[in-house]
Amino acid sequence: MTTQAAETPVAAPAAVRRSRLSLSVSLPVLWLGAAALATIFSAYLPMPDPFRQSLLRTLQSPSPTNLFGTDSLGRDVLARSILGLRVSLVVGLGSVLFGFALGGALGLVSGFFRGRVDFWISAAMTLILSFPPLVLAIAIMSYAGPSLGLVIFTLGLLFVPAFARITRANTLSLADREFVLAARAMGMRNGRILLQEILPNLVAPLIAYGMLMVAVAIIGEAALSFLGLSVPPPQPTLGGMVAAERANLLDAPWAVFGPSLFLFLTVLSLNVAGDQLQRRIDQREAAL
Amino acid sequence: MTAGALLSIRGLKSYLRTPRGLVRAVDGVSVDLAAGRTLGLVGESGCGKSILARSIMGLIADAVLDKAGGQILFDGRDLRGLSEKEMRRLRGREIAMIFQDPMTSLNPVMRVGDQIGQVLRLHFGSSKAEAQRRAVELLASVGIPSPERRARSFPHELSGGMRQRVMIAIALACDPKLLIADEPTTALDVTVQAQILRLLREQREKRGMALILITHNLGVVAGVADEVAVMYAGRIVEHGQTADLLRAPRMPYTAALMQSAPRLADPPHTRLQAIQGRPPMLIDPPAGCRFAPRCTRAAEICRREPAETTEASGERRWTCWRPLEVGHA
Repeated sequence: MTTQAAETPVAAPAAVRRSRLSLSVSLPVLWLGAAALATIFSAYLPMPDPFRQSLLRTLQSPSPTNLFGTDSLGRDVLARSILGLRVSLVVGLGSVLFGFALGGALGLVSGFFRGRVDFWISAAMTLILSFPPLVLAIAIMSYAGPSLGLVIFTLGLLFVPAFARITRANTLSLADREFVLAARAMGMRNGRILLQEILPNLVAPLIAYGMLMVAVAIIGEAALSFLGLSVPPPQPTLGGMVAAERANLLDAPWAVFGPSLFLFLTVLSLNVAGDQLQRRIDQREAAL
Repeated sequence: MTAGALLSIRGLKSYLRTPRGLVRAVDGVSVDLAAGRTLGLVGESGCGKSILARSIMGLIADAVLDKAGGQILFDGRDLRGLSEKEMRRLRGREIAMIFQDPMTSLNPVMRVGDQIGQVLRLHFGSSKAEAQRRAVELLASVGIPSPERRARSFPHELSGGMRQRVMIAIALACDPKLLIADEPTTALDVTVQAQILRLLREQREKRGMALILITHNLGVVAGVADEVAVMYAGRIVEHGQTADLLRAPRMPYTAALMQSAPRLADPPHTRLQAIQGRPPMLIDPPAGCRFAPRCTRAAEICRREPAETTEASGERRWTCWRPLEVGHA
């Protein structure tokens, strides 16, 4: 009797709980995965050519050949939306990575060394933050002319202060923890302490924040492309498609709602998944 | 003083720059420690013990530390004269340190084995595999069961006592000549404290390294240390062989510290004798003996002039105008 009782697996309930993934995680991940695959392999999808115009078939309503209908030049809205989503995803990820790398490095240095370095870096960040972000983006884009690289750079630049501040705040508190002192007592160099002791402790919160920022970047790109200040045509962009077809909103709403739906679902998924990730990381940190 | 001293601290002054003024945290400390010996450094919180330890390790930022004077001779070299690069080579390899709170002294996102291996790779350039193998050996030598498995654990999977053992393994990894343990047992359960102290004593004997044990617990000192230095307000006020000093404290502060701890031999319901007041602010310390404001034996001269140090046979020293008679406590 007693031996049997002792053998009851104690960890069983935890294992059951772990295997059930909530819908608020699985649905966004599913959409983002599908979006990523569709944009990467769009050339192999059984779809009409997104660039082929057909003036005989303009503003056609959705049908088996054109699932989202056609636009004012007779092009397939679904195929163009997928290509537009590719731009959104590339810009979203690229600009966040840029902001993450530059802002993270600045925040790490400024939080770890403090003093004068910290003062100047923080001042520079405040300077960037004091510009209205979209106005700054419009200014840079209209001055230098639209291109993919420049959109990524511009939006990324706007993320630098946020990443720098979060990294700095976390670094400040981590640098005072005893394990950093212990690392120093081991004879470690500052650079090594930064990379091996502090950076790994920062990555998790930054990734969750970064995911939310990808959504912001995608909206930012859509706003710029709506104004014609993102990747230039003939490359379709979600914002550009909405801008071009908005005059036909009453006759052919699908030409506007197709790209809008893609934008909406992607941003929603990123926000929900990012929130969930953030919550999990917070829980884990609380447990440590 | 002693010719064969491994560590010889001479008139060391470490002042700290703070917004409220210069804190004289270590103010003229002299102490020697021979290889293979254990020095217990005792005193209340805020009396400069940890600052002394960090001064030896060179762990106080230059922006904060005012090296007001004195020497730290380690193995014949003055550590105060070494560059940061030379100090780095010494830290962890020849002088190692363990800290009070094992819960926060380990990197939470790095496996325990990697943290031990890290020191070996840093100082000996060991390969990853070699470092990992040594890490497992070290874990075994500090008494951690199933070391292969534990090497792959993260710190939060270990208990406080286990973590302190891991810290000790990291400190011992490079076979240091001197180990500084800053309140190594304060954050642990009493039963675990005894185990950790036994481990420290065993390892010290096995490796023949010197040990500085910082604590505010005289019981800990009695069990482990060969000699004791009592620190108060940035100075060493009494020094001697452990047994001599505990049997016959001469400085009233030492006696007061001993009386403020409970003893099993006392009759039931004995009142503990707390020391009145708190240690002085070290920005503007008292002019005379720094303990005078709290001392029950203080006289006119104690408040007016700094006490002189009396030296007796057997490395016995005390700094007091009106020392207790032998046999008092």
